[in-house]
Formats: sequence, structure tokens, C-alpha cells
Amino acid sequence: MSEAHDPGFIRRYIFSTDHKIIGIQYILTGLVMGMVGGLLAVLIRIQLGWPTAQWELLERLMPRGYPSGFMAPEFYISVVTMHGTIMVFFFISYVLVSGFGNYLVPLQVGAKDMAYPLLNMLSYWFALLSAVVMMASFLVEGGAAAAGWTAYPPLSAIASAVPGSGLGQSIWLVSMAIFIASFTMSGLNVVATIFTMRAPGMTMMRLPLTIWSYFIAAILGLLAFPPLTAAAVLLLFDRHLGTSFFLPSGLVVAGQPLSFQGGSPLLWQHLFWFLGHPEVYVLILPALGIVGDVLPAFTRKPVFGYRLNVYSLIAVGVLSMVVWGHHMFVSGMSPFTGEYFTLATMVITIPMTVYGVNLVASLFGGRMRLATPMLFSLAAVALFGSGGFGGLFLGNATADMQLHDTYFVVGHFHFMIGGVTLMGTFAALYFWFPKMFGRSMHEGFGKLHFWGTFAPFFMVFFGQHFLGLQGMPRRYYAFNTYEYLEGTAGQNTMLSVLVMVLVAAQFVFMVNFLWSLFKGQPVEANPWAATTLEWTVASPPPHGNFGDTLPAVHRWAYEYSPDGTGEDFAPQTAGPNDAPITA
Amino acid sequence: MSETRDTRLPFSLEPVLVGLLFGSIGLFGVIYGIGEWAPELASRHGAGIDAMMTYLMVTTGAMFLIGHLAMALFIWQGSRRTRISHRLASPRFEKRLSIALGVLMAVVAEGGVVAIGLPVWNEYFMAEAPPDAVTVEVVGQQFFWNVRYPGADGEFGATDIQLMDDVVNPIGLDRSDPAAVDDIVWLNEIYVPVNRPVRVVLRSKDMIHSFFLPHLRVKQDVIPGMVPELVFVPTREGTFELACAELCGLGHYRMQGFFHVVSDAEFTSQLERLASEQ
Amino acid sequence: MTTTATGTIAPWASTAPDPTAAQRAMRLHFGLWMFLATVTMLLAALSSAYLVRRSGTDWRPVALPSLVWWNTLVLAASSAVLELGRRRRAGLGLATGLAGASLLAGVFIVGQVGLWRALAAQGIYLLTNPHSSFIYLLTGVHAVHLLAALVVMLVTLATLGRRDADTRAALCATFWHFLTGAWVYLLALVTWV
Repeated sequence: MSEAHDPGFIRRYIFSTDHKIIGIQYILTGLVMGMVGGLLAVLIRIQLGWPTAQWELLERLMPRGYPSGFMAPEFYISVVTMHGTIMVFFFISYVLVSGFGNYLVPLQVGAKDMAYPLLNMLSYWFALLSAVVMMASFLVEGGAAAAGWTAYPPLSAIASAVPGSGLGQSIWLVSMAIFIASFTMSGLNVVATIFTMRAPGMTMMRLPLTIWSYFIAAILGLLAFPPLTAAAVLLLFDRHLGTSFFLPSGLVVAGQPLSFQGGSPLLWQHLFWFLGHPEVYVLILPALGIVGDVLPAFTRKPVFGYRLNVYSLIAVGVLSMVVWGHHMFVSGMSPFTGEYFTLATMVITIPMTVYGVNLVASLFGGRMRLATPMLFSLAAVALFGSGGFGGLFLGNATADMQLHDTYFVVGHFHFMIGGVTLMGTFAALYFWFPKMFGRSMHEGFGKLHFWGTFAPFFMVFFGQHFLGLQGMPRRYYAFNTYEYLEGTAGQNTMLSVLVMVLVAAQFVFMVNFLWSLFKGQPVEANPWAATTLEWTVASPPPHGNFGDTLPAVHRWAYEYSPDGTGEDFAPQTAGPNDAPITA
Repeated sequence: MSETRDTRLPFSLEPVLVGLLFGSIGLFGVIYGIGEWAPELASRHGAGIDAMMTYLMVTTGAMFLIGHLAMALFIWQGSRRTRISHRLASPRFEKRLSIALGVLMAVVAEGGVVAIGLPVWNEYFMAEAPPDAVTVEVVGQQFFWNVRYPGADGEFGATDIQLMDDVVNPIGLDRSDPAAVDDIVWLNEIYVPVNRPVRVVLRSKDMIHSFFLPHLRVKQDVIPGMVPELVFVPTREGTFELACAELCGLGHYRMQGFFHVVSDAEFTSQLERLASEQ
Repeated sequence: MTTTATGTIAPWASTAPDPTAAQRAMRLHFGLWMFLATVTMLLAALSSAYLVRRSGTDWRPVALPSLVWWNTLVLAASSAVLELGRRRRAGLGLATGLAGASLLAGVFIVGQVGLWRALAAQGIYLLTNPHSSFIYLLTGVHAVHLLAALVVMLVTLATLGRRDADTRAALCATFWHFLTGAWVYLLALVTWV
């Protein structure tokens, strides 16, 4: 079947149902969106680093956002909102979750394609549509949504509250609805493929951690996104039809009394965070799974505590559904509820600590090769640990009273869903680029990219934790009127400079990526000497992945150095006579 | 397992640099973090929050340092080996390590919460206002804090949104209500006496705002439709800034107020001055 | 169940890359149930919003017109016809079952529109009070899902000659019964809670 399959360029590369093409489409779309999100971050940091400077160039580029060269405050919060939205939903979700999820799941479980290829293609086109719709909101009257990526009503519900709450917010909600439809289709595919299409011998406990993490993430996505859909529908009703689901009586906005009655803004927060908290695990688990698979390939020994890692992932998935209230400690909900959410959140630290320490323990006694994917994986481990420690502060209601909505929160989530995922994404890109395109990326530029990315990234967001400890609130356009924040001005300028270094380093990656696509060193099937199934087929794998016979699996994914030499490895397809089976 | 010399790779610079990178993150991170970061404390319950914070800084700081140094060590060692020295730990060891980690985190995280955190949380949220507490109402709006004292009768007068006018009557006070006659309404400036409990009644006219006094370790969201109350005791005289800590629109960053903690005598005279300017 | 030297292999697994009809059916059913799980979460979220909003002081219960019980009966009949046709009972075939169910679905939709008009005739609109907002919202959300299912059912009817017709009819039926059950649940919610 695969030999006779030549559908022509359009069917093969544009409207393809091949999971590998769709995965690459997702990755490229996500990288473009990531560039947009990164440029928005530059605008944010320019404003915070030099709040009184005048920028003629920016005025010429964006006359509405920079009247007489100064950033408009409403443009600033639009940029903040869109930076968060784009990075969470259109960069990390597309590249790491949907992109690599699509690419890796069938290859690593040993299937010909996803369970529902047509649905898969549809999910990508919905995803692209949702990204285009979201970008369009920059062009409308009033500009893009400006109520933060959390879109709390009344700010997000009332057009006169802020310019971005006009058409921009409606477009934001519609784009999110399309995104959720796309993400649901993609998630259905991932769960069904992993559960029903594993190759013979590929038991659940032989799956690589990558696949386990996608499995848990996809289930979480399927169960957590519908409440956001419901909330978005209710909010659209409030905005356009005048219902009062989220809007209380007695509102007076811009001097005008409004006629809403009896709704509850807190209800939105509950619905939003019921999604929002599992969502951060949807983003971070794939990165952790990928790191769990990349480390062994470069230490030449199995990952430490495979079984316990799997149990940890499952436990985190379950617990993530019952801790959303820790985003709302100071919202005014019952203090007893706050106590429950504190205690429950602290329970999550246990499986996360087990997973994190097991990753570090996987380094112990190994024979390490510091190739680029390995460097980024190590960075992800460090950020995961450091970010987790910040989580201990924020999950603790007492400490959170001071830290809530300060830069401590900004630093924390940039370490976790910003940093672990970004480093995991780069690890994945460098690791699987040879598989995807049959050529390897340039190691020298890769290492330059690593140093230029990880060092400034860590300093920027580590520094933000301490800005938060000094009481600096987030989503502020400027801090220069606050006396108690006088000391932060220098720190902010420093962080802005570091962000410029960080962004400049990404150009190294872009050049490397494009150059390697065409001029990179051609590679064999298994350049990293790794064990999982995708490395047993050609690079890039043919349509249909495994040809006429699916691989039979005889062992787990971590058969590195079964003889203890540090050289040897056994792919998952190697039979019991080829090498001893150790798990 | 023993390692012999000939299983080592020759020295090379990269592992040293990478090891140093991770090691110095741990080391310099801790050095950077040592010291007092929070704005100088000015409330009674805030001491408990600061204790919680210190506890977390010390415990996580230690784990942060150990973790990064371990990574640095493993990177340095691993990069010189030609053979692996440990392949698989026994399932029993793996299980025991996980249990040990679970217990450690339960003690560090849950223990900290139970021993230090929740008592402070309860003191802060469950506190009943004592009879001698000073009551002040703060009504947030884009982008001001309206401040109201009940006056001599100790009761707030009725308000009506139909009477609201941003210039002359921002909270819509109904001056025909007898309780409203001596109400004192002011903007952005809050006066409270030192070392006496303050009861703050919070309301919002439009968006979600958040009443954040960094020096007093006070933060409370003000969701329209809800009327949260806070009771706390300022312990230090001075003027402390009040910031909004929940995105409320384009002027969120300039929604600044001033919380003046003054002596009893000064408090009385300030209220008299404000009352005379009504 | 086949076994290898290294352990058991899942019953559906084989080394042939293309699935058998039974495997396809199993996969499609699995996917449908996952999808129904997400729809269940959607209903759960809307229900919890309903319960939270219900505690507001401005909540005024609205009585539904009796037409709603006839609509419910029609929807239940549609489910029954589809199931009987799928099992080829009571003299019904697959085609007649699908066609009959689609027809009754159309009657149900028309009935729901009639329900909205009856409410409007009583002066109960979307904005009248939070209960009426929820009634319009929930019936609307249900109708959207029902229309989607109806399209799927009509496509199935039009392509009965192709492979896996029984499987696809079974999937239709599962989705359809789910929506009937969801309707009964929603009706109970807005009537009694």
C-alpha cells in the first residue's frame, strides 16, 4: 500500500492525513506563532526596562500602539494578554503537545498512523484557523483582548471597561472555541492511538515515558477543556445577549450604571481554573516525558525508576483536577476552601518530587555525552526543580497572600510552563530533527543556542521571583510612581537586557533550523543510538511508517548498556536472544 | 563500583563549563537570595507570613543548592567515563527512595503549611473585629480607591447607584439617610491608628480590584457583588503604599493609594480635618 | 490471546498494519466514548454553573410548557426506532431505523423551536431571569449537538452501501442514545432543581 501511494504534492504536504506531515505542520505553525509571542515579549520588556523612553521607530511601525513614541497603556495590556495567550495556546500547545504528539505517538507505539487520520487533518486546519483568527484581533477597533489570558469578567465582559474588551475580546473567545475543538480532535486521536494501536508486545508498561506523558496530557485536555468551552459560551452570552451569568448587579462602569443582575464573577474563575490548572500539566507533562527519554540516550543507562515515574505521571494527572482553587486564594472564596486547596496542592509536590529526583538520579553513574538535546534536557530538569520550589510558595495560601499576582507568579510560571516546556521543546527539536528531515542540526550552533538561551532565561525569571518578593505586582504598565518599588528599576532594566540576549539567541536557532533543513549532515536511521521504535525505520520514515509488518516489541524502551559497557543498546524490537531483557 | 584510570576520558573543557553552569546556578542563586527582600514589615499577622516565607526560603534554598550541585557533579563525573558505573537500581531501592522523598516532601511542604501556614491563615481570615477596631470602607473603581469612615455613629449610611457621580458623589452616598450624615468620604488616602485593629470593608463599583498593602502583608481581591472584610493590626507608623493587584483596565498600574498609619492623636485630628472638608 | 516469549499481547494487536473490521469498530467506539466523556464534562460544567447561579437572589423559577413532555416522548421514540432498526427487530431494517429516527429528530427540533415560541408567548425571554437564560442556553446547546448527530446520521443513511455500515450505525445509535439521556438529564435539571 505504502509503495503505491503517490497522491501528489498538495495531498502529500498540504492536505495530508499522514501524522508525520501533520505533526511537522503543527510544529512549523507553532514556531511562527512562537516568534510572534517572543516579539510581544520584547515589547513588554522594552516598556518595563525603559518606562520613560521614547521610541520613534516603534511609533512608525505601530502608530496606534505608540502615540508620540510612548507605549499606550491599553496597548501594553493587550500585548501582555496576547503574549500569554499565544505562548500557552499557540506555541507550546502546537509545537510540543500537538506537533510532537502527532509525530511521535504512532511511531513510538508502533502504528501505521493515528487512529483517525481524517480527524487529525481536520484538527490541524482548525488549529491554523484559530491562530489566524487570534492574530486578526490585533487589527480590529480597540485592538486585541486586554483582560489577561485569564479573561476575568467583568473586565472581559464589558466593552467600555477597556478598549480591548470590544471586538478584540469576542474574537479571542471565538478563537479559543475553535482552538478547543481542534485540541479535542487531536486529544481523541492521541488517546485512542495509544490505547488501541500499540504494536504487538507493546504493553502499557513498555511505553516510553514520552508516550505516557502524552497519554495523560491528552486525557487531561479532553476532560479539562469542556468547562472552558462552557465558560466561553456563557461569557459570549453575557457580552452580546445581555445575560448575567458572570455579571453582578450594581455595576457602574465609566460613570454609566449597567443593568446586569445577580451574576457571579467568581464562577468564571472557578470554571477557568478548572481548565487552567490541568492545562499547565497538559503543557508540562510532554516536556517531562521527552526529557525522561532523552536523558537515557545520552547517559547510556535506563531512566531511574521507570515504574514510579509512570505512577507519578498518573498521580499528577488525577491530582491536577482537584487543586484549581490555589489560583484563587485571595479571591474571597471561603477560607476553609482555601485550606483544602493548600493541603491538596501540597500533595502534588510528592509525585512531582519523585519524578524530578528520578530524572536527576538518571544522571548518576551514566556515561554522559553533552550533545545539544542533552544540554536542553538538563536545562529542563534544572528549571523543573527550581520552578517546583517556587510552587511551594504559591501553593501555600499563607505565603500566597503576599505573592499572589506579583512577579513571583510570573517568574514561577515562566520557569514551569515557559521554561521546562521551552527547553523540552528544544530538546525534542534537536533530538528528532534528524528523524523528521533525514539531516542533523549543526551541533556548534546548537550549543551556542543553548548557552544563549538557558543562561539568560534562568537569570531573567529567577530575578522575577525576587521582584515578586519585593512586592512588584504583575500586569503593571509602569512602576515609577511607587516609592517602595524604586529599587526594582535597575533590576527591571537588567532583566530587559537579558531578554534581548535571549531573543537574539533564537535567531541562531532559526538560522540553524533553516540551514540544516537543506544543508545539514545526512543521517542514518538511528544517529543517537536510541532504543525506541521510530529509530528502527529510515529517516525520514516512509508513509505508513513500518511498511507491511508492524514491529513486534520484546522489551521496554530503556535497554541501554544491557551488558554494562556503555556502548551497547538494544532497540525495543530486539528479541530475547539478541540481548538480555532487563525490564 | 570501582573505576579504573583507563576508563576515564581525557580532560575536556565543555563538561567543566556545563557542570560549572549548573553548579553556579545553585550557588549564586542561593547567595543572591539570602537577605531581606520583602518590604519592611508593618503589621502583626505579617510576622507570621514572613515566618512562613523564611521557612520556605531556607528549605527550598537548601534543596535548590543540593539539587544543582548534584547535577553539576553527575555531569562532571559522567562526562569523563567511558563505561557506565551504575545501570539499574533494584526495584526495592527505587521504591524506598520514592517513599523517602514522599515523606520528606510531606514533612517539608504539608508540615510547613500545618505548623506555620494555617495558623496565620486562620488568624487573618477568621479574625472577628474587636469592639475597639477602627472601621473603614474602601470602594474600588477604575482607577481610584474611595475611602469612607462611618463617623461618630459608627454606621455607614445607605448608598444608591442612581446617586453616583464621579465628581461629587463617587460612591452614591444617600445624604438623606440619618446614618449617612456624618459619613466621611475621601479619595485614595486612608488614615488608621497604630497598634489598633483595623476593619476594612471592601467593595468594588466596576471591575475586580485587589487591595494590596505590601508592607502590611495584606492582599484581598475585591470582586464586584461581594463585600469581603479584613481585620489586621498595623504595628508601625508611616505612610505605606496601596497598590491594585488585579488587572482592572488600562490604568491598573496607577491605581495607587496611601495607607497612613499614625498615632491615636494624629488619627483623631486627621478625621476631624477630613470631616470638616466634607 | 496470543503470547510471545516476552509476555502477552493485547487481543486486538497484530503485525498487520491495516486494521480488521473488528479493530476498526473497536477503535471507533473507543473514540466515541472518549468524545462523549468530553461532552459529559461540558454538561457537568454547565450544571455546576447552573447550581452556583441558582443561589443568586434574583432566581425566579420558570415552569416549562407541557409541550416539552411531548418533545421528550418524540426524542425517546426516535432512540427506540433507531435501536430497533439497528437490531432489525419489530420488522424494521437498518435503513428504516435511521430514516425513522432522523424524521423523529426533525419533529423534536421543530418541537423545541415551538417550546421557545411558547415561552416567548408567555413573556419569558432569554433575559427575563437567570433561570430562563439557562433554559434557552441548555436547550440551545443540546439542539446544536443533536443537529450535529443528525447530520452524521443522514450521512450514514446515505452511505449504507459502503463498508462498516453496521459499525457506523451502532456509533450513531450510541451518540443518539447519549443525547436522549442528556436531554432527560437537562430536563430534570431545569424542571426540578
